[in-house]
Amino acid sequence: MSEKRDPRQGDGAASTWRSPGLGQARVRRLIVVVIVALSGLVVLVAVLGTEQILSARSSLRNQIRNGELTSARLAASAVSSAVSSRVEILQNLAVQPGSANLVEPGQAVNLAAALVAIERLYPQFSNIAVLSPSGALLSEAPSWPATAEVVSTRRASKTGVLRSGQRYVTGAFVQPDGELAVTVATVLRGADGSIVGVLQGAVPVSSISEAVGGTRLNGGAILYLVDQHGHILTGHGVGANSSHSSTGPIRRALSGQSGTTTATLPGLQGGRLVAYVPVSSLGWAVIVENSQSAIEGPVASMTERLAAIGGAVLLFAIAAAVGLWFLLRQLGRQRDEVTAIFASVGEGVATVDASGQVLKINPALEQICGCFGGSALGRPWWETFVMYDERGSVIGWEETVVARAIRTRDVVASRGFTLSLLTKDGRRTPVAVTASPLVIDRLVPSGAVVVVRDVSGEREVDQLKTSLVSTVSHELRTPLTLIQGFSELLLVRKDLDSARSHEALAQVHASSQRLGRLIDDLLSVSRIESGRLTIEAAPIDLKEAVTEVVSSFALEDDHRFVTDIPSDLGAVVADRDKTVQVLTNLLSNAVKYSPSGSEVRVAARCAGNHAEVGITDHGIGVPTSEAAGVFEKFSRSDRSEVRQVGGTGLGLYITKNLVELQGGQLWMRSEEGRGSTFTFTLPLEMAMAGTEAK
Amino acid sequence: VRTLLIVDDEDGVRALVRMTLESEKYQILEARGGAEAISLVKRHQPDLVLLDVMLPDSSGIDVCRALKADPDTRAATVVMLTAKAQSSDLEEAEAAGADGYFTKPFSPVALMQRVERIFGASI
Repeated sequence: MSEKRDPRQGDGAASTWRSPGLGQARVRRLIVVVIVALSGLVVLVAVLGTEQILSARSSLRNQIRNGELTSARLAASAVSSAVSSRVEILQNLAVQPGSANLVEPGQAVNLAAALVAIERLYPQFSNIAVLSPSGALLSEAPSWPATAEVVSTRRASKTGVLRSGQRYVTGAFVQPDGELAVTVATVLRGADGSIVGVLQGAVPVSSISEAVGGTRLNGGAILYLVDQHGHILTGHGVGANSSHSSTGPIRRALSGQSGTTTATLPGLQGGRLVAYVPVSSLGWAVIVENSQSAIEGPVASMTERLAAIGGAVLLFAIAAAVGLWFLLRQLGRQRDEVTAIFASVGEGVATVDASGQVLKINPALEQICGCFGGSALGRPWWETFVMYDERGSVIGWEETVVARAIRTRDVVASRGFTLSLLTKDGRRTPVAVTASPLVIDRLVPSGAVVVVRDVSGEREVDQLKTSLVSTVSHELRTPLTLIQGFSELLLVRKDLDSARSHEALAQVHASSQRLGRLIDDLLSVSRIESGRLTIEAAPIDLKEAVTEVVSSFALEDDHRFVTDIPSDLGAVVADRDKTVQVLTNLLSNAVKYSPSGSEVRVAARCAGNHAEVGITDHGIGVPTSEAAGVFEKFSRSDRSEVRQVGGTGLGLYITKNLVELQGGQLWMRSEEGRGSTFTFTLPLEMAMAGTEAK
Repeated sequence: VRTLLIVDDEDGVRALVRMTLESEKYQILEARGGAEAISLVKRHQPDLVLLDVMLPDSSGIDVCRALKADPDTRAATVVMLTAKAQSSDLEEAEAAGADGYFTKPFSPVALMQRVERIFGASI
C-alpha cells in the first residue's frame, strides 16, 4: 500500500474529474452574467424612461403650441369676420340709393336722424361720422369732442379709404370716453361714381374681443389681439401708445406668417409657448401664449409613473438576481457534493452508457486500472477494462457483469475472487465487479453504475484459507487415521503379541499428542490474531528455564545438546510458560531438521538491555529464497526434507509473536545444508529497573 | 506370496498398513516418496501399490501416471490412499490410471478385505 499514485497523475485525474461538474467558479461566473444583464435592463429602462420623458415633454409642448395655433387661427378668423361685418354694414349703407345725398348740406338733419337710427340698429359702433373727401367733418352721431386722437384717427381713416377706394380699418386709438377702439371706413359715391365723401364708424375693441370670447383656450393660455401698428388690443400690456411690432412672433405675424415658437414676451416672465397667426384682411395679428410651466404638471406625473415602473423593474431585477444566485449556489453545491462523493468513494466507481461507453470514472478506479487523466472516458468499457476469468481467458463484452446488468436491468456481481483486471502496466489485479443498471428515465435504459473492488487482499486470504484447510485437514487426518487404525487393530486382532500391542498403543498415544499440539497451535494463532494472548511477565531465571527444556529434549532425543549460558546473566522479565514454549518450539525445529546425533547448541549472552539466546543446529538449513517467509503463517517449504517432517507451518509464526509480545525479537541466520541459528532476545531485569528508576 | 508396496511419507501410516496386512501371504515393501516408490516397483514388480496422494517429493497422482505409462511397471494394481475425498481428486486419480482408491482415515479390517478381494479377483 506504500506505493501511492504519482502526484502528477493524481492532479491530472483530479482536474479531469472536476471539469464536468458545475463548480463554484462557474456558478459565480453565471451570477455575474445575470447581474450584469439585469443591470443592463435597469439602465435600459432608465434611458428609455428619460427619453420617453423628454419626448413626452417635447410632444406635449408641440401639442400645446398646436392647440394655441388652432385657437389663434379661429380667433383670427373670428376677428376678421367681426371687423368685416361692421365694414359691410357701412358698405351696405353706402350703396343704398341716394346714399350720396348724405353728403349734401341740406341732408344734415336727415343724416343725423339716419345715423341715430343706424346707431340704434348697430350698437357695435360707438360713433358714426361722414367726412368730405377733403376731410371736413360733415356730420356725426353721437357728437364727439374733437380730441387729437379722434381727429388724427379720422384723418388716417379718410386717407386710407381714399387710397384703397373701398374700405379701411385703422389701428387702435383711445376714444373720448377712454375706451380703446378702431375706426372702419368706406367711400360714398355720387351718381357718376365719383367719390363724394367718406363714411366712418368707430368700433370699440371690446366689441371685437367679444367675437374671440368663444375661442376655447387651454388652461392658462392668453390670447392677444394686435393691430397693424403693433398695439396690443387685448391681453397683457393693452394700449395704443406702445408698439410691440419688433417682438419676434408679433413681427412675423404682422408680416403675414403664422407658426409656433418659444419666446419671451414683453411684460411676462420666462420663456412662453407662443402661436402667432396674421389676421390678413386687417393686417392684424393674433397671438396665443402659455407659460412653459403648463407642461410641467403632466410631465411630472408621467415621470413619477416611469420612475415607479423603473423602480419596480430594478427591485424585480435584484430579487431575480438574488433568487438566481441562491438557486445556482444550491445547485452548484449539490453537484459539487455529488461530484465530491463520487470522487471520494474508496472503491473504483464508473458509469457507462447503454452501449458500454465509459462516461465517468473516479480516482479510485483510475488507481486500480492505472488509466489516469481521463484516458478511459468515452471509450468502450471492454477496451479499457480487459477482464480475465479463472482460466485466464479474456471475458467477452456480452458476458461481462456490466453488459449483463444493462441487458437484464438487474444488479449483477462477479462471484468469488477469480476475476482479474489487466492494468495499464500489464499486471493482472484480482477484482470484484458489481454493476447496477443506471435508470434516469424510467423507460430508457441509461447504462450502468459499476463498482470495481481490488480484491488482492481477499484473494490472498482466500488462498491462505485454502492452504489452511488443506494443511489442517492433512494434519488432522493423519493422526486420526493412526488412532482409529491402531485402536481398531487392538480391538479386533486378538493375535497381536505384546510387542505389537505396545507399538499400536504408542502410536495412538503419539498421535493424540500430535492432535493436541495442533489444537494448541491453532488456538495460539487465534489468540495472537484476536489480541487475546496475555503475557504475565515477571523476573525469571533464564538459565534455569533453558536447562529445563534442554533436559526434557535430551531425555527423548539422541542429539548432542550443548548449553553455554554465563552464570551472571541475571534474570529476564518474561512470561515463564511462554518462554518455555519459545524454547521448546525452536529446539523442536532444530531436532526435527537436523540429523540424529548432531550437535544442537543453546548459547546465551548479554546484549545491552537484553539477553540474547541462540539455538544452533547443523541440519538442512533454509535456502535464501525461503528465508523471508519462514516466520509467516502456514509457510511450509516444498522441499522434501521439510515435508518428510510433519508440521503445520505455524510454529515459527507463533514463536515470533510470543517473543515480540514479551518485548524481544526473533531472527534467523541460516545456510542451506549447513544448519541454522534462531536467535531471540528478552529484556533483562536490571535494564528494566534502570529504566523505571529514571 | 504376493508382493505389496506401501507408499506414504508418514511412518505411522506405513506401520499401520504393515501391522494390518502382516502375514505369510504378503511380502510388504515400504517407500517414503515417489522416486523411491518407482524404483522399488521396477526392482520388485509388486502386485499391489498402495499409493498416498500427498508425497513429499511429488504428487501420488504423478507417480501413478508414471507407473501406468511405463510398460515395465504397468501390471501393478495401484490403489490411491488419500486423505482427500473430493470428486475432482478421484477423477484425477482415475484419469491417471489408478485401479481404485481408499480414503483416510480407514478401517484396517476394511483395508484387509479390500486387499484380499483385489488379489482374489486377480487370481
